[in-house]
Amino acid sequence: MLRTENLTKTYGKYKAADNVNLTVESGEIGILLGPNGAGKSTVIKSIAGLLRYKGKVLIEGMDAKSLEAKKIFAYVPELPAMYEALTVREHIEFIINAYKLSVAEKDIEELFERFELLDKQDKLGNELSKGMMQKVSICCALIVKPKVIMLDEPMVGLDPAAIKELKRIILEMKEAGTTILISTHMLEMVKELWDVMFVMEKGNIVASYKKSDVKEEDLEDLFFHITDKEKENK
Amino acid sequence: MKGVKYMKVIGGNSEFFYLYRKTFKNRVKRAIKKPVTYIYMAFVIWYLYIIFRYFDEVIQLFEMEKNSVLTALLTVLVFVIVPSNMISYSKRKGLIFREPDVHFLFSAPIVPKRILLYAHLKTMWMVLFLNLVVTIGIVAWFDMPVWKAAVYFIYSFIVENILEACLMVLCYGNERLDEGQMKRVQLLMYLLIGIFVLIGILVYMKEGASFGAVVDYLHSPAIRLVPIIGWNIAFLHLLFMGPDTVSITGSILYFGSVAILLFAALRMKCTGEYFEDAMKFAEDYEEARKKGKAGEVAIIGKKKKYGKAEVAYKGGYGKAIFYRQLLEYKKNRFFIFGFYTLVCLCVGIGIGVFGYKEKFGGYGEFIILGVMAYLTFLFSGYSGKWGKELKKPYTYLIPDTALCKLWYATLMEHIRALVDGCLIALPAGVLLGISVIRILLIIGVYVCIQACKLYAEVMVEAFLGNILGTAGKQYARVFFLGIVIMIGIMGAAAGTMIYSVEMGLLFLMGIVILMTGGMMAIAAVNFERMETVV
Repeated sequence: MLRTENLTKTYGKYKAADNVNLTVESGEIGILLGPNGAGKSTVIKSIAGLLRYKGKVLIEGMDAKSLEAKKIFAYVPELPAMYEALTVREHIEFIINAYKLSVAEKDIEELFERFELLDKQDKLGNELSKGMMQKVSICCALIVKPKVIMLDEPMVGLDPAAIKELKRIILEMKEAGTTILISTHMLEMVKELWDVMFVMEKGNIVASYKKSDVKEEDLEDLFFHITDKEKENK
Repeated sequence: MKGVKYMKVIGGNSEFFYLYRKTFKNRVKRAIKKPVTYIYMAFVIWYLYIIFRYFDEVIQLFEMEKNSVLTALLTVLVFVIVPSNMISYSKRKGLIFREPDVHFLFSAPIVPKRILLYAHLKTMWMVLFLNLVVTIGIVAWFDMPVWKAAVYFIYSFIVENILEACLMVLCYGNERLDEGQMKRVQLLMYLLIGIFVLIGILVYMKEGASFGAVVDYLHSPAIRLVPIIGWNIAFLHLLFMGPDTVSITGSILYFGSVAILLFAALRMKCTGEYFEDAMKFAEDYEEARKKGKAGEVAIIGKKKKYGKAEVAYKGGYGKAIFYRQLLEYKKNRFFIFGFYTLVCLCVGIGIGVFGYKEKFGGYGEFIILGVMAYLTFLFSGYSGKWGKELKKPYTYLIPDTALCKLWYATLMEHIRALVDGCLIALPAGVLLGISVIRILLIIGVYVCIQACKLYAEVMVEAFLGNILGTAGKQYARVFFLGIVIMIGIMGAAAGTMIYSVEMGLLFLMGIVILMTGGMMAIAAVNFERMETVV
């Protein structure tokens, strides 16, 4: 389970996130939506522990900054950054060491196969294309076998095959009880995935829906219904 | 499970050890494939050999006991390294975090203090190298016993780094002190350095400006009583000069402060609030690095401010590149001018003032030209915008010839060279009483030499851009420029001897223009397609 309680982040007088409360239960896929500058990245980076904030972030009930919480948490940032002098495989090996994991060779091979990285294992970080970096970044997050995973614009830069595979993996993780939070602008890509959605505007969560409550309603219609209403209220 | 192969996980601080080991191994593997590595290595070995071969003779010049020279030199080394590090840490700077560190380390289950130490250790290679050179030097040049050199190495590399790491953790990782309190810590660091300056002023007032005064300052007991930095120097005195009350007291205080700081750093709570600053630094650093690679001057964290401006495009195709550059320069605070403009003006006035009375024995023109050539070689000058044009796809899509695009992408640089040439030659020429025609010719020569330097750079980028690093490219550019200038000087000498100085300068200009034109034609290939030739 992933929960934020009154998460507030300010830059000087500007509130980038204002008392944000969201909960994604275990085995649920949450999506965080909102126009540019709504505060999604601030919330994501705060949850990942990259920013100072007020309020609480809990991962399976534990403070997100604790090492115990970090051990079961994985994060795929919007812009992947690779170590220039490490190969694809060495990135995975590094994560295995950093998380003190015991991972079977076949699991690594399987992951590489799913993302078509088997023949790219020896490529150095500075030789990878943006899409390839995104694949490595996702593999690094998945190898941890996290209980809570957060993905910031995970589909950007991926080829159609990788997007299809990622969607399949996300659903598999959901089946296994993993908590998933995805921040994205690509509504089309997540419309068959989500269980709970949060719409942000100006640092606030202006709406949240459970899929079970809205039944057949289209995600895109829901999103524009909320954001257009916000525009009218201005 | 039987038959299943598992990834080996090393215990302890394995993740960082793994990162250092693999990074180092891959870098070496990549470097040995590049021929330029061997050139650099030969240069470094030759440089070290020269130092080792002749440093002994330098020591003799001091006409002092060897241990006294050694202590003074090591004190200078402490002054150069330690205070700046301490100020950096108090400002929460000095640690380099890269974007992959943010990506992979900050969300991983790693104690935040250890991530700080990892960043600190990344800078240790150069420190280790320096300490090894000094330690060997202590035995080889100063005839000190090996045990003293070993103690120095342990002290300088291990103990001093423990102290610095503690200071770094206490400043960077501190989550209790607010911004105001951290400012006071910074002030304290500056105060410590202020004490050294004050002692220096007192020694100067007492003994005047002399070599002896500098030595007395470096050996002064007052220096050794300044907290942390002075106590560090006190131990060096104790080790190499023998015991005295001040050195013993300072050394005890130094080791005591290391123990206290270590205890405080270990106990301090750090949950990783510094990640936010480190992430911002990583972004700024990456941006500055990219700019640096493109030959621009970039200060980490300083964003360039642009004003509002307009420009009327008086021409299309390749010319549009020039007008776009003009618009960008107009948005700059100082238009096309910068630090180098100021240097040129100062140099011009300086030559004029120095030579005003004697007129350099009638060789004023050659002095101005010589200084101009020196500046051309010494300063990299303006980074220019042409390099950026090569990174933009639309440059290649503009329907114009490559030569035209190159010309308009570099035209502003020629205008800048003209302004700089005027700033040097006009004040210097007027004060030296040089004729107008000669001043104009000198300006013309300067513009041509600068153009030659520019096109040599574009040419090197086109043909050696993928092979050589930044330094290598600079050497190659200097090499080509040097050849052109040498041939130009020969032509100028011939012209001057046969006809007149004016004709000599015209010859020089003509030769440089011809050869630069050739370089320009070759360099134009850069604007044909978005990749280097080799």
